[in-house]
Amino acid sequence: MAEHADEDTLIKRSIDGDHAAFAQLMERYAGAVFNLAYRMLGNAHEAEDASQEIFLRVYTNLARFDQERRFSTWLLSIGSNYCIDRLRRRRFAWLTLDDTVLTIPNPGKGPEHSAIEREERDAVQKALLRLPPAYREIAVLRYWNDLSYEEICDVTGLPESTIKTRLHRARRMLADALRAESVVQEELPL
Amino acid sequence: MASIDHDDTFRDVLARSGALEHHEPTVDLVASTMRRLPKAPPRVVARRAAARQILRRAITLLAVVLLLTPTTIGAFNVMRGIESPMGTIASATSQVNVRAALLAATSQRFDVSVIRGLVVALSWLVQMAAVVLTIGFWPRRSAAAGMTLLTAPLQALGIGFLATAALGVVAALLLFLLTATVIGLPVAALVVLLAHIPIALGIAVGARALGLRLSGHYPTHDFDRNLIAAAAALALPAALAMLFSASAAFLTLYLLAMPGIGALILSQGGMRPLLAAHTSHNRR
Repeated sequence: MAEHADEDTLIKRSIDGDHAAFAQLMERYAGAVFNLAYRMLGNAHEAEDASQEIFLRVYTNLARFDQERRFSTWLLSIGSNYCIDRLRRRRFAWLTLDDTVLTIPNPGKGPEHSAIEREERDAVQKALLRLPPAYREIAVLRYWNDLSYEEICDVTGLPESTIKTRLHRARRMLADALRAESVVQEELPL
Repeated sequence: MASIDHDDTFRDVLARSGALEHHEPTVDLVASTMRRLPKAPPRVVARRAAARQILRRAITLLAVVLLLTPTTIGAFNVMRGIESPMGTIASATSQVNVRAALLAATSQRFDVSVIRGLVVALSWLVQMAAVVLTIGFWPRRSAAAGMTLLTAPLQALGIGFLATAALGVVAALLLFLLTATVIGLPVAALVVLLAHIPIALGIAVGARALGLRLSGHYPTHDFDRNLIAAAAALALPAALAMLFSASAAFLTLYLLAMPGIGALILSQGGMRPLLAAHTSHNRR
């Protein structure tokens, strides 16, 4: 409760143009926003850029934030809309004047992870990226951002029945892809 | 209830594979966003953003109107058989007359071979400047497209040939309609300039690829002597073709730009390069 009140204060101060307050809000949600962007876009470099853009959009729209809503779901709705928009615009991304190359390979992940584990994780990420963006969004919000159905409804503005249908299909597609990559051998209950 | 169980089972599978682990960004997201955050409070920023969006839409609309209006009038003139302003100019002063007048005026002061030499040198320098500027503006993307050209040269050449042909057809059609009306002439000049941007980019990517091949290591985003040598070498054929005619020079330019244009398309403007196994190995 105290945390909620504290968040409300930070939002109000941010609306008044207090950058330090907005920085505190960003500190709280940077991880969630980056991971949403990373899972949606499939590229860490692009996800970092997208996270910054998402926070800039949040700042621009902050005055319109309805304080009856949860800030986290409002923030994630801006984030997921931005990522879907960015995926749509990807085919025209080359028209930008920015000197960016998107597929620079990442350096190794470090010795603490075994090669098999890394392979499996990459297989999940690859499978996730094969999902249509609308299904990917729901799966990421459910499994990676750990949101409830109600919260996903709030983020996406979709009815619960649609969320459940999309999640079921996303699970089925992911399970098929993971079986094809031999990450899971058994038949998963879907 | 069953749905929730399946949900949990699936989450367990994902967790076991390590896929649910959170990733950490490589940069400080808060600090980097703070650097880009506008000084003004959100309300003011929102108002400015709305104004910018209106301005962007107005400019787009204006550009469409500027292109469509003279094109439509030109098409109308062509259908009615009205002589185009370019036709009138051409019949009044034929190309031969212009050349003869120019030669007569200049040969009184300079030797013709000196003038030709100057034209070759000038066109070589202009091309070099265009290549250097393009690479200077997009060092990473031009390098990425250059690597794509080295990875798939034949594919790039094929795509480049088709794209250049398509660009030529579209530009020729537009110019035919735009030059059929007086108000279309400035827009036609703009179209000619715009149509040559992909050509300049293609030459720059070709120079990048040649520079990378000469230096033998990937990727290099900096200017080095190999890149300058490659730019100089690629600019030379079109400059020498100026000795024969301007059209020969342009044709040479288009031919040299084709592989680079193809590589640009293949690599989505240098943003998603195709990398051969040895290049990606060297990148680490």
